[in-house]
Parts: sequence; structure tokens; C-alpha cells
Amino acid sequence: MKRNPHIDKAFFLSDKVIMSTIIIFIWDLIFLKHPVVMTSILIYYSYAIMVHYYTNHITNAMQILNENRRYRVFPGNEAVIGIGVRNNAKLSIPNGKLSFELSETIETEGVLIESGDGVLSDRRVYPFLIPAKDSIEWRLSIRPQKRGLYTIENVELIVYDWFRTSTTYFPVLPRLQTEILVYPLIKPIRNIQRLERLMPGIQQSRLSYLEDASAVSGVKQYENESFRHIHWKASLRMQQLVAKKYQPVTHSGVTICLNLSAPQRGFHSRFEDLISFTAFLCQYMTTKHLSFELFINIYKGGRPLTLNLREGNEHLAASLTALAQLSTSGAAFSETAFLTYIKESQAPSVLTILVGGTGIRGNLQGEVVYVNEHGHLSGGGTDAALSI
Amino acid sequence: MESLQKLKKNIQKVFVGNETAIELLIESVLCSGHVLLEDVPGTGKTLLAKSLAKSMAGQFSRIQCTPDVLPSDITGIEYFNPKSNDFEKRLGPVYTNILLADEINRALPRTQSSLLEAMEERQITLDRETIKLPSPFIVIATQNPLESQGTFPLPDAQLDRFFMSIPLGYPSQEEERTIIRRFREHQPLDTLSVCITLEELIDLQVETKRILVSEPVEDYILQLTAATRSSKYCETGLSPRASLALLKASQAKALYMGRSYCIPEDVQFVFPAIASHRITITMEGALTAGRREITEQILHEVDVPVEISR
Repeated sequence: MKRNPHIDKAFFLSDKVIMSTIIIFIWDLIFLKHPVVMTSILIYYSYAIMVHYYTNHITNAMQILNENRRYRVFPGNEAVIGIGVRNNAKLSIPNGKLSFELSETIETEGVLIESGDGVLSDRRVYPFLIPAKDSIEWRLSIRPQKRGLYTIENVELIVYDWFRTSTTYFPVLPRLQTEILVYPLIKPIRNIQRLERLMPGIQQSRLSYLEDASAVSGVKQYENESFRHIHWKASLRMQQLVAKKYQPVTHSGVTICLNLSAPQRGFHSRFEDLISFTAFLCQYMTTKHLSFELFINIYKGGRPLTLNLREGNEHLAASLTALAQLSTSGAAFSETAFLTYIKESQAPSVLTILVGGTGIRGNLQGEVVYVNEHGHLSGGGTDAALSI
Repeated sequence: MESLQKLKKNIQKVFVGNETAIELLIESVLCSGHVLLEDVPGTGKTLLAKSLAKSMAGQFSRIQCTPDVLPSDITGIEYFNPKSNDFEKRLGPVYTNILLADEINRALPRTQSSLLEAMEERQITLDRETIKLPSPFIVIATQNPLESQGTFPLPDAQLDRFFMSIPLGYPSQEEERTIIRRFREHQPLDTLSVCITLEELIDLQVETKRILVSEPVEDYILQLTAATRSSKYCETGLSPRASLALLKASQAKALYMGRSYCIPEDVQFVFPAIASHRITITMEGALTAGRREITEQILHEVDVPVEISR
């Protein structure tokens, strides 16, 4: 339901005061006929009418620009976001104020901050003057400090008249569509080069459910294969129906599994570090042009959060976006359930990397390595060769 | 242009919302360009393609791409017929005017590539014989960018052959209300009639080529192309084929607007659809913005030519 703006007028512009002046005006008009009083009252009426029309006119004309935009930034880096208002009225707005709340973990520059009273949080404020049929967009410089997805919340627009005798409070927007996505901090795994020993000479190959139909390795006797699998030329040469034989598919995917649970209960005390190490692994796989899939033991649609096997910069961006939005407010799968799920649903991989957890390897595919909460990599091949 | 507005209205009898997408699709048809419709499932990609095909006269074929669709399923096959004791040709669905390749990224790369010759040269080669495809020949492909299980991303060479890539997006609440009311009892696609003949379309395509492009607009196109090549967010920028596509699409937009000349706004309108699928973005680019946002940023940064009066 659309809510209407609330208008607050100074006492002398209230309906009661205006009504009471009518009696004085009529009295003066009939009996006193005092020109100064009459002129003053007329000026007062004109002002009251002007304020009335002004507030009514701008009520439907002011608009907070609310674009669906997402800003992406790493913690500690600077980004500039836009926030603005539009005046669709034929009148300029001489005096207005836009204020909003933004997470305290985001440092801002070039904006006034109104302190909250302990219950209310700090508000960023932009006073403005806007010409008729125009819009203003402020560039707000932000420096987020913590991973997460943030929005600009409780956006309030207040418009005053020329002498601040009336104030129009527009309905508070709970949140703007603009989002600020803060990626996790990328913390390197020091002995990462050990991974390379586990993947010598791996060639990339596209995943296929079936055989690699792009590579015919020979022919075989026809056994009710599909019409298009018949090798017509070979059949003609051999004077009997033969079908194409395809090469088996090879895979070079890497499975990254992030377990955020603590060994006993709840979430791991180094929740952020585990995410940062996973972010590093995703970046590492992308720079090595390897495809990877990501499993995280947080509930998402009744199963662990999963990003399917892919490669490239856009897959990295999608992975970091998923990691950025993880929080301890959700529920997590136990380690055993998580590993069982991975075992059943992982794509054919040459390497499985477990981040966090107790180091149980389950019966996962390919070489299995483990990254602990301190960012140390172990396992795979002979443990002795890989131990630090 | 009256006939183009009629075509748009006809499509809108079925497809609700995103007028920009309909406009871009029509402009692509005016340039005989192939279109890639991208978005999440259920946003009306196939419906839009089918509405366009039904609004135009000519042949229409559809391929539902799956991992076991092979090149021969698309182009055709030469097989040995024991009755006639000779090889015979059976042309595939590609021999048509409008080809809908639904969920194209589910087909194997090899199958996707089999469309390359047809898309670029408008011909197919079966064994030793080259067969010309009917004119106009337009491929409308759809893909869901989110799905990755069992999909094969289109190779860059294939993507470059798509004239435009059009995202559909979700409809607004009001549009969605119209959708649920319109499709409640019947399927409007069944009653959609042809509103443009092939001859009319070919005439319009010829007219599109005659639209005047002034030197400042040409420069603007070249500057935009150059900007994609030098952008820190782009690994590879636009190809000369893309510059040509940008020019043609701008001409089509001008014709659509009923003008005989191009203006920079025409270029701006079509640029994201022409460029976003053709650029390869760097890691920094991917982490800072999406492809669309990068093309919009480039559009923002390049100076727009303005008329200087003396």
C-alpha cells in the first residue's frame, strides 16, 4: 500500500490559527478598516496558500533514485557509490535533506554524519537544493572493512519550504535496491605450490555426461545404436552396419569443500579465515585455468550451498560472491553428512580440497588434500612428502 | 515504421514486458542478425522467439539442444539407402528461415560449432556439396547463464557470430499480473497471425542498409570499439565484425524510429546488446562488474559527438 508523506507545519500556519484569523480579518474589514492589519493578514494568507500549494505540489514530485545496482569491492579498498534524488516538480526545492543508514563497518567520506542516540544508529546526511525538473546524484566514497552484502537502509527524505515553516517527511524507504558486495579477504595458503605436484600434466576437458562424441576412436559392430551413431562410410566399405566408437572422457576438475562447522558444535571460531583461504583457492584455480566446483556446508535449499564445475573469471566472481554472503545466522551440515553429499554429487575430479573440518577424507574422488584453519595444506599422495 | 510497429504489437499480444528486448530483436532481424536470448528459466525466451517466428511468414524450425544432439542432427546427413543402392541427403532443421536453437549451451561444443558455417556464410556443406540456405536465415538461440551442470559454454568464435545478446529480465509486478491473466485460460501464441511477409522483410532489410551514417557517428562507433580494446576490464575487445554489427544495428534502430539517418542515441541503444557477449573480461573486470556493466561504463566514458553550430 502506498503511504503518503507527512506534512508538519509551523504553529502559525496550522488550520486553527488560520481559522481564528478569519474572524479578525472580517472584524477589521467591517468595523476597523485598518489598512495595516488588513495588508498584514492578506500577506499572511498569501504565504499560507503558497506554502500549502508548495507542499502539496512537491508531495508527488520528489523521488529517491533507486536503481538496481551492485557495487563490488574488496575489504579495505575504496569504491564510489551513487545516491540521488529527482525533483519532477516545476518548482525548485530550496531546502531538503536526504539521510540514510549504512553499516558501521563501511567507512564513508564526504558526507555529514548525524550521531544516533544509542538506540538509533548513525545516519549519513546530504542537505540539498535542487532546481525544478532536475536530479542530483551524490558520489559517496566508501571503504568497507568487513565481508558481506550491504544495503543502504532507512532512507529518509525531508523537504522544507523557503523559511523552514513547513516540513514534508516522505515515507521512509526500508532499503534501496543498490547493494554493496564486499568480497572476502584473500589470505594465501603458504604451501600451495605443493598442489601442483598432485596435478602433473593434466589436460582440461569439458565435462560430458556421455562419451566424448567429439572424438571418434574407431568403429564397432552395430548393436542397436542410434541412427546417427552409424558410421555410414565404414558400413559401406565393410558391407555390414558398424557404429562409431568414442573415446572415454577425461576430467580435470577440482572440488573445493568448505566446512565451516566447529569440531563440536556451532560454527568454527576462525570462520572468516576459512572463507579467506577458500577465496584464495578459487583465485588460484582461476589463475591456473582449472575448472573447479565449490561445496559449502551451509544449508541452501535443503542441501549444501553448491557452485557447479566451471572455469574462468566469471566463475571466480560467482564463487567470491557466494563466499561474501556467508553468515553464521544459517544452519550448517555436519561433517559426515557434508562429505556424504559431496561423495554423491561431486563431478569427476582429480583433486578434492577440504577446507576446515577435522580432516576426515571420506571416500572422495581423486587426490584428497586438507587445508586447516591456519592455512596449512596437507595430505595427497604420500602424506610424508607433503607434510610441512 | 508502420510495419515494424505492427510487428512489435503482434509480438506483444503474446510476450508481455521488456519492450527493449522486442525492439532489439526486431532490429536484429532487420540486419539478418542472429540473436542470443539469455536469462534465467521462465522469463519467456522461447516464447519471444516463437512469437517472432509466428509473426513472420516463412519456415520455422526448432532444435532442442541436448548433449546427444550431433552436428548431423542440425545440418543434415548423407546416408546410404540400400533400396536405391546410393547415398542420399536428408537436410537438417537448419534449412529454414528462422531456426530456434533452444538451450544452445546444452549441446556439445562440436555441435555448437556446426552452426558456425550456417550462421556466418548462410550455407551448409554436406560431404562435397555446399547448399545455400534460404534467405532470410536467422538463428535465435536461447541459453540460461546460471545453469552449469551439463552445459558447455559457447566458444568465443561462436559468440562473435551472434549479432546481439539480449537479456530479458524479470517483468514488473504489473506486467506479471498481465501475464497471469492473459495465460490463465488460453495460449495466445496459438491464435497469433502472420503480420509481415518475407518480401516485406527483405525490402526493409534493403532499406536498413540505405540509412545514412554521418562521419561523426562513424567515429563514435570506432571510438567505442577502441575503448573496449583498451579497457583495463577487457581481456579482448570488440572485433571488426562487431564494429560492423554496431553500425548495422544503429541503422536498424534509426529505421525503427522512422529516421533516414543515424544519431548517437541509436548507437548507445544497441551498444550493450552488441558488445556484452563479445568482450572477454579480465579477473579484475569480473570482480568489479558484470559484462553489461562494463559495456555501460565504456558507453559512459566515451565522448558523445555533438552537433556544433556556426
